[in-house]
Amino acid sequence: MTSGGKLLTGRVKGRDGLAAALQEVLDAYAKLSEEARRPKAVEGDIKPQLPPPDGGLVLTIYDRPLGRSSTGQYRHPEGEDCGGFRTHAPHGQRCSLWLTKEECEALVPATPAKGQTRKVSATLAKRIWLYGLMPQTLWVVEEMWKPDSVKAGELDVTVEEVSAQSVRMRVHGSVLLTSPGALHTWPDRKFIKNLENRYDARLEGVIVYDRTKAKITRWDMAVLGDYSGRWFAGNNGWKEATAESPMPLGFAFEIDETAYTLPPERRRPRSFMHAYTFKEREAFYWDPDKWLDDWKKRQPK
Amino acid sequence: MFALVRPQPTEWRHLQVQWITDVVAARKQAAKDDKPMVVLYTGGAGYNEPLGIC
Repeated sequence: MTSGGKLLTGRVKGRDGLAAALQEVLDAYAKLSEEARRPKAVEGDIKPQLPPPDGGLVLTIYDRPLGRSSTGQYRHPEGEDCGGFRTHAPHGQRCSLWLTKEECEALVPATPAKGQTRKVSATLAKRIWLYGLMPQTLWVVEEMWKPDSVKAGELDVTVEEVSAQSVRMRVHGSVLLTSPGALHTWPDRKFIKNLENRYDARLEGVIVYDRTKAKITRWDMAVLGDYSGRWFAGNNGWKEATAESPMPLGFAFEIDETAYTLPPERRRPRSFMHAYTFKEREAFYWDPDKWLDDWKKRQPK
Repeated sequence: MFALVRPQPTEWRHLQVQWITDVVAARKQAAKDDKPMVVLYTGGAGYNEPLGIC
């Protein structure tokens, strides 16, 4: 497309990759007049994505279902894993979670000592569980955990190493999430049955706090657990992972290194929960208990 | 487990491009550089977003 909005097309069908199609576009562009290529002015205002909180942190979260080999080794699904079906996003999905400066600071003891263990604040733990452990690969934004989905959970940080430069901590815990769901046919959405979406998982990772930079510079965390409930198998529609044969589901959390360095016009959009689900209710994103209180008020008496 | 869940070298390769996420900014840049734009967008209810569910 030109900066003036003229669509330049290149044929992809029957080609091996995008390169030939992009060359067609470039060739078509080169044939345009200067006036057609470069309008005198481009109308409109730049409206960059919102910046993450000052002094905070952006975690990138990947999720994907897993399979298991005959020896029990976890692997990317193959063969009859996942009942022989595959998700609509075979490479997994990608999401994010914003943390405030205060949430980051609260993770690090003022006087850290090896072996020290402290609880992650209840609010941050719930944000990680409810907003971070959304199996986007399985739910394709049609499902989410409910405000009361945390049935059990703990999340701690334990200091492992302390030096003048850094504090290395282990982040570890577990969670049980459940929510009611319904299985429908696809794409005509005929009701099949009610079921429960359930994720029973352990969390394990490493957080490094750089004392000279006064910021968290590493947050590598893996989450693994059994998922049962509904999941979307692309054109094969919605499927059910049963409690008797749950699906192994993994998440990987890491720091988005670019979140605070990209120029505004290249910023990554906020998560679906943050930008859409809580579009008019920003406070719920930062405090799941407020979301829960509001939800309770809305329940039928 | 962390490495198994993270994207493999052959996955999410389009994220190696530093995309402009504002269309007006992209048009202004294209006009300035005298280059066409590649608009990467997909259908779907958000789950097909090229940058992920962000």
